Amino acid sequence: MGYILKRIFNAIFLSLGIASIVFVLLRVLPTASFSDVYLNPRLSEEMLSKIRSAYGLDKPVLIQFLNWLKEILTGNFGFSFIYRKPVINCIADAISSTLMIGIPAILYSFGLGIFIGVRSARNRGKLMDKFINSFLLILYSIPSFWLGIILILVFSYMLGFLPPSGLHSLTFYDMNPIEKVLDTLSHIFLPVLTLGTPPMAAIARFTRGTMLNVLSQTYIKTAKAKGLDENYIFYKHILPNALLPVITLFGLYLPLFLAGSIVVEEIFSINGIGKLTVDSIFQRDYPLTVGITLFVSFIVIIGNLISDILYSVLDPRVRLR
Amino acid sequence: MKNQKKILYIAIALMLYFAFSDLIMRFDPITSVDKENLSALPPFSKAYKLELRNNRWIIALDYKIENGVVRYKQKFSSGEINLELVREIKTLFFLFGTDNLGRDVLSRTIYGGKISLTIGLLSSLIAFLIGILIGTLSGYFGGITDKILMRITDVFLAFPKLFLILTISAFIRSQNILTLIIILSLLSWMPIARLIRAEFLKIKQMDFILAVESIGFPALRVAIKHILPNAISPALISIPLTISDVILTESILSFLGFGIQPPTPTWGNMISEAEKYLFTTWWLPILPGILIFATVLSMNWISEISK
Repeated sequence: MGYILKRIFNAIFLSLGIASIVFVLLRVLPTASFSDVYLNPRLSEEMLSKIRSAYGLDKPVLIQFLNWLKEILTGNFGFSFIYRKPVINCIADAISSTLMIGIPAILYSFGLGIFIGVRSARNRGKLMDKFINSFLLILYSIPSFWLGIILILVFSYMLGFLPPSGLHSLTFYDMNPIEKVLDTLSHIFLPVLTLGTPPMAAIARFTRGTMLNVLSQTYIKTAKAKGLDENYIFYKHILPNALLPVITLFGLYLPLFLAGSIVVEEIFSINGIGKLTVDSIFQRDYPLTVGITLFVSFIVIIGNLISDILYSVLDPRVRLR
Repeated sequence: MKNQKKILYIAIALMLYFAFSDLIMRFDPITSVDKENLSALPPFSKAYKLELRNNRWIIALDYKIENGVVRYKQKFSSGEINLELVREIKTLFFLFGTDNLGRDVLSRTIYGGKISLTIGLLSSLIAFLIGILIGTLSGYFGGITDKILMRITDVFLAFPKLFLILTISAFIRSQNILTLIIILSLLSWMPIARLIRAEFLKIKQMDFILAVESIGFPALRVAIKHILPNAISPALISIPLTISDVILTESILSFLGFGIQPPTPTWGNMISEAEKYLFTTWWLPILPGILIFATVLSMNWISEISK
């Protein structure tokens, strides 16, 4: 229990740290806070000071920071200049598209990655294993945005059977349910492949490493010496121990998936969080930019916290370290 | 030993690239000789430059000499000119085609690579130095210094890097190579600092450190002359990974439009421009993409073999 509490405390500390960096950014950088850009130049000095006091901007910086924190904690991330609605609503509108790509991509990369890693560790030293290992290094090094463009070129332009952009066809709302599913699948196939492939390769390599590590342990030798069935040893002794560390990868790769979603949404014109970020920056919509950064950081911290806690529940040794 | 040779070869290749890139670049990477006629030529295209005696020139896609008259064809028109007026006819060969503004893709890629690699290498170097500084301070002095520095490191690590970089570049009015290097290096030092600190904690326990401390050497000298050389190798191994990470991040930034701005090419912004006209000029993203890929792959491969 102490371990979990410590983790939670750490997560709270990290969130506070991130919030304060963002606040400093907002204050220090010239164009950000209470900027002249957005003020009516004909406002009198008297009016300006009234506005300042109405928003609490005449108070000491520390008080302002605390006020700001209070608003963040109650879910008020600010008000978007461009969309004319609260930042949190903009995020809520965009997140379903991101999840529609993100969740299949996470499932694909972890599923296939673990499968390939386990298979390749079982066949270690063989020609096939060496080949797959080099191939994974190649896949891992492909820049995802370039991969996306090449996939569009091959599947949409040359072969012409997958749509290059968006999440739905124009006729989506006139379709029957089966057509709707097929339409969505054909739209998300390329983005999921683009988002999931580099992490997939990394996960496969990591899984192969942990598998080989477990295989060299003495208790596996003992199990073999006892004359246990190969398959029994594999599923009962090797696999659970080898897959445990993979859980930590989930927390570790969450930022990777989120960063990937920026690129993928930009290439495939999907209106998710990533595209919202890029658009907000281009349109100088600072509250939105800052709100998304905070939101995403909190998600990453929560993801890390969950994977840490899950790991400590499944492997009690961690708590003692 | 064999692996060190391989790393040396890659380093030599990089140096040769920086030294001779201007020589292999056959066309101006930023402005075209003829925007209209040379635009969007596919790979392996040829064009001809008819240099005239009055120091002007005509760009032609094809030409024929018939009884003292040069008949030439351009993209949208054709014409003829007296052979006596022509001083020389040069063949322009575009191995990887040209882009929509008539610039040679190969030359742009070579020129852009220099910028991308400079940013990648310099940012990694600065990140390495910052990492060593923070790791050394934190590992050697321990206690409250260590706690504060490691907490800061944790916070920086917890940020999704790309979002933070985008946010910061949102506030910067004019992005240039220098600001980009500073931003990238300020967000890449954390793993190196952690590695150095961990090694310091290990080495600090060893007997020879006790020995030099008991002789009465000052702390700074012990940390820099006795511990650091022994602690640096894991961090050195992580340099290629930092370089590949920075180059990828820079290319993503340029791709999204926040890095170096066109017309100056980088591999990332070339792919970004290519994406706009993907279905008409499919050859544009191929070469810069392959080069980013090759650079990242070779860096990952170095870190693989040096483990």
